[in-house]
Amino acid sequence: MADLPWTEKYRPKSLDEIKGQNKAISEIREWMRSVRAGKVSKALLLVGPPGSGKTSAAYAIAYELGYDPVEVNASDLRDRTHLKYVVESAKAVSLLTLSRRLIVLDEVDALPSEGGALVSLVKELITKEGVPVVMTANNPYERHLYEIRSLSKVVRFYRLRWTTVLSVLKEICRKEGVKVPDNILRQIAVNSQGDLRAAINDLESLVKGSHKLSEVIGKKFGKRDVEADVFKVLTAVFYGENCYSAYLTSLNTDVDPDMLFRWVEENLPYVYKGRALSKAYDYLSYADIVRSRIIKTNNWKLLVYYTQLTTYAVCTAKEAKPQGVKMKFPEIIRKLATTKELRTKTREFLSRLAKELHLPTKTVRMEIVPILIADGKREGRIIKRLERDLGLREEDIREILEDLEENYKLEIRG
Amino acid sequence: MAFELWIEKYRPRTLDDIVDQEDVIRALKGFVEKRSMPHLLFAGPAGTGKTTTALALAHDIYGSEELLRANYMELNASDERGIDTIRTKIKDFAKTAPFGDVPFKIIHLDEADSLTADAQHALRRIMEMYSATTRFILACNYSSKIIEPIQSRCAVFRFGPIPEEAVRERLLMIAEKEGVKYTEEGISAIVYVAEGDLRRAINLLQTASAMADEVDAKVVYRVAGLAHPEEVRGMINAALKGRFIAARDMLRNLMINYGMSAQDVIKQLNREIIASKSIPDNMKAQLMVFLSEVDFRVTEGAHGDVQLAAMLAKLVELGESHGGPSLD
Ligand SMILES: Nc1ncnc2c1ncn2[C@@H]1O[C@H](COP(=O)(O)OP(=O)(O)O)[C@@H](O)[C@H]1O
Ligand SMILES: Nc1ncnc2c1ncn2[C@@H]1O[C@H](COP(=O)(O)OP(=O)(O)O)[C@@H](O)[C@H]1O
Ligand SMILES: [Mg+2]
Ligand SMILES: [Mg+2]
Repeated sequence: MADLPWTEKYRPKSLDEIKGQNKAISEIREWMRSVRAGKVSKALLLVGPPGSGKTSAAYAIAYELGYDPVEVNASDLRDRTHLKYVVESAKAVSLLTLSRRLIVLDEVDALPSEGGALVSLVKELITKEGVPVVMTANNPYERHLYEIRSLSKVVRFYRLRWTTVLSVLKEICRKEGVKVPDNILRQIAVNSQGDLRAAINDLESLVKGSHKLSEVIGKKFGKRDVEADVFKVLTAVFYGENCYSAYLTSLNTDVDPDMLFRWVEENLPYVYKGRALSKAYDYLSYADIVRSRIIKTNNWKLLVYYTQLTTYAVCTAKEAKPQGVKMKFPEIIRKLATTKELRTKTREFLSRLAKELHLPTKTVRMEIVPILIADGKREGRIIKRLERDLGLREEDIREILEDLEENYKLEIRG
Repeated sequence: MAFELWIEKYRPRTLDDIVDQEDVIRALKGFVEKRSMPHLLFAGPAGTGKTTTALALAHDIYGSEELLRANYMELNASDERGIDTIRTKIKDFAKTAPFGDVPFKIIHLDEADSLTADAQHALRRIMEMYSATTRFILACNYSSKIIEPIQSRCAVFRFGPIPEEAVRERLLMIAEKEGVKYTEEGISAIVYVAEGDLRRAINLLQTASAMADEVDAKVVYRVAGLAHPEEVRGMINAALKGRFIAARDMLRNLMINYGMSAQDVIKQLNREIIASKSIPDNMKAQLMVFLSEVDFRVTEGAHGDVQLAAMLAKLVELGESHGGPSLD
C-alpha cells in the first residue's frame, strides 16, 4: 500500500470523489439508473483529455453498482476464442463474489479496429445479453469509432481547471503531511494543462526529490516556453506603449497569475525608478490585496482585476522610456524552493532549542544562533554540549549552522 | 538541563533570585504561601523575566523539579499553528489530574498577544472549561492587545525594563564567573544596546565573548548589528538613499532567513521612523499613514513582503524629494 504511486493511491473510488466533472457525473448517474432498472440499451462512452478522470469513473461506476469490472484489452480482442469466453462469463454471475459483471473497454480509440471485432463485441454484450459496457476514449472522432458512438451514450469529460487541479494537489499534500509552497503548487497545476495525472506525478517526483522544480515544471511544454511567455508579457508591460495590448498579451499566455505577479514584482525595480517605481508598486500592492480577497471569499470573478493591476496598471506607471535589462527569475520563489530538506531540519533544530530555552523560535534565531555560530568557529564547546543534551549529531548541527550562517554574515576576528 | 548557554545557566530558579520586579515578586509570594492562585497575565517587554518568573513561581508552588515537570506546560502562541493546536495540547495536558498535593496544573502561554481577537475569545472559553484543574499564566508584550474578557479574569502584573544598573551588575557577575575578559566600554555598550532587555544583554555578552578574546565596545556593536534592529535601520537608510533593490534584499533576508514576521518588521519600522531626528516631521506624518495601511492590509491577509516592498518604494520616493535623509 505504501508504495503505490500517488496517482493510484489517490484514485477516486466513487463518483463523488471525481472532481470538476459535475455534468458528466450526473449524466453517468442517469445511465446507471437505467442499468439498475435492467434496461441497458446503450453502452457508455466516456470521452475527454488524458488525466481528467475517465478510467477512474469507469471503475467507480462498477463499484457503485456493485458489479465486478472486467477489463477487455487489445489482445483479448484479437483472440476470438478468448473473446467468446469473456462474453460468456460476463453473462453469468461471478462465482467468487456473486456479483454481476460490467465490461470496461479502456481507451477504445487505441484498440485495433480490424475486422470490426470491437463493434460486434459491444453489440453482442449490450443488445443481446444486456451486459453493461463502459468505454473510454481520448478522441471520440476517431474514424473507426463512428459505429461505436451510435451504440453509446457519449459523456464528455473536460480538461480540469487549474484551480481544481490545485485543490487536489493541496489535499494530497495535506494527506501526505508535506509542505510545498503555494506558488509551486500553482505552477505545477497550471503547467499540467488540466491533466491531473501529470500534475500528481509532478508533485510526487518533486516531493520525493527525484526531480528538481525546474525539471518538473519544464517537462510539459518545456521550461523555455513558459519563460518565453513570461518574457513576452514582461516586455509588453515594461517597455510597451500600449498598456491594453500588454494586458491582452498576458491573457493569451498560460502563465499562472501568481507567477506572473512575482515576475513583475521581481523585475520592476530594475526597470522603473523613483516615482514610477513607487506608483507601480502601489498597484502591485493593491493587486496583492485583490489576491487575498479572492482566496478569502473564493470569489474568482475578481481574478481579472488581479491580472489587470499586475499588467495594465503597472504598465501605465512608467514615466521615461525604461532601459532594457535582463529579466531575473523571481528570487523569492527560488529562496522558498531551495534546500527544502535542510530547511525542515533547521526548523526542527530551532524549535527544539526554543523549547529547551523557553523562548520563541524567532528569538532563538536572532540571539542564540549567533552564539552557536561563533562557538562553532572556536572550541565548539556549546555545540558538543548540545550534541549530548539534545541527542543530535555534531555534523548535523554544524551543517544546520552553516546554512544559517549564510544569512548572518558573521565573520570571526583573528 | 544544564546548558552552556548563559541565559539558561544563570536563569533564576526561585522567586527570590529574580532581579528587580519587586512588586510583582512580593504579590506572587503570597500565592506560594497559600498554594493557590488565580489566572495571571504578565505584561512587559522582552527579556524582563516573564517566562523566568512563571517558571520560578511554579517551581516554588510545586516544591520540586519532578512535580514541576509533571504539572507545568509551556506553549508559545506564535509558534503554534493556530488556536486549534493550542486547544488540543491543553486538552491533552489537562485531562490527567494534577500530581502531588497542589490541586491544579499550570499552563504558561507565552506571546498571547499574537493571537487574533477571535482566537483569544476561543482561549477564554478554553480557560473556563478547564478552570477546575488548571491555572493559566499568559504572557504578552502589551496588555492592551489582550481582550477585556481575558484581562478581567486574570490578575495582571506589569514587568518593567530592567534598570541599567541592574543589567550591568548581572553582566559583571556572569563575566566574573565565566572568566570573560572585558573593558568598561564593552559592558556599557551592551547595557546601552540592550535597552533593559536582560536576556538580550546576556546573549550579547556570550556572543561577543565567543567571537573575540576581549569584549570591547567595537565587538559589541558588531555583534549587535547581527540582530535585526540594525538591519531594519540599514534597510530604511538604503531606501532613503534611493537604493531600492538593496533595501528589498534586506527585507527578504529579515523575513525569510531571520524568520521575522511582517508585523515584527512593521513594528520596528515604526519605531525607527518615529524616533528619527533627521526625517522631517511632514514626511514622518505621511509615513505613518502608509505604515498603518500596510499593517492593516497584512492583518487582512495580504503578503507582508509585497506590502512592505511597496512601502520601501514609497520611502525611496519620499527620500528623493527630501534630499535623501538618513536615520540620524
Ligand atoms: N476528475 C478527477 N477527480 C479526481 N482525481 C482525478 C480526476 N482526474 C484524474 N484524477 C487523478 O488522476 C489519475 C488518473 O486519472 P484517470 O481516471 O486514469 O484519467 P483518464 O482515464 O481520464 O486519463 C487518477 O488516479 C486520479 O488520481
Ligand atoms: N528579572 C530577571 N531577573 C533575572 N534574570 C532575568 C530577568 N529577566 C530576564 N532574565 C534573564 O534573561 C533570560 C530570559 O528572560 P525571560 O524570562 O525569558 O524574559 P521574558 O519572558 O520576559 O522575555 C533569563 O533566563 C534570565 O537569564
Ligand atoms: Mg484512462
Ligand atoms: Mg518569555
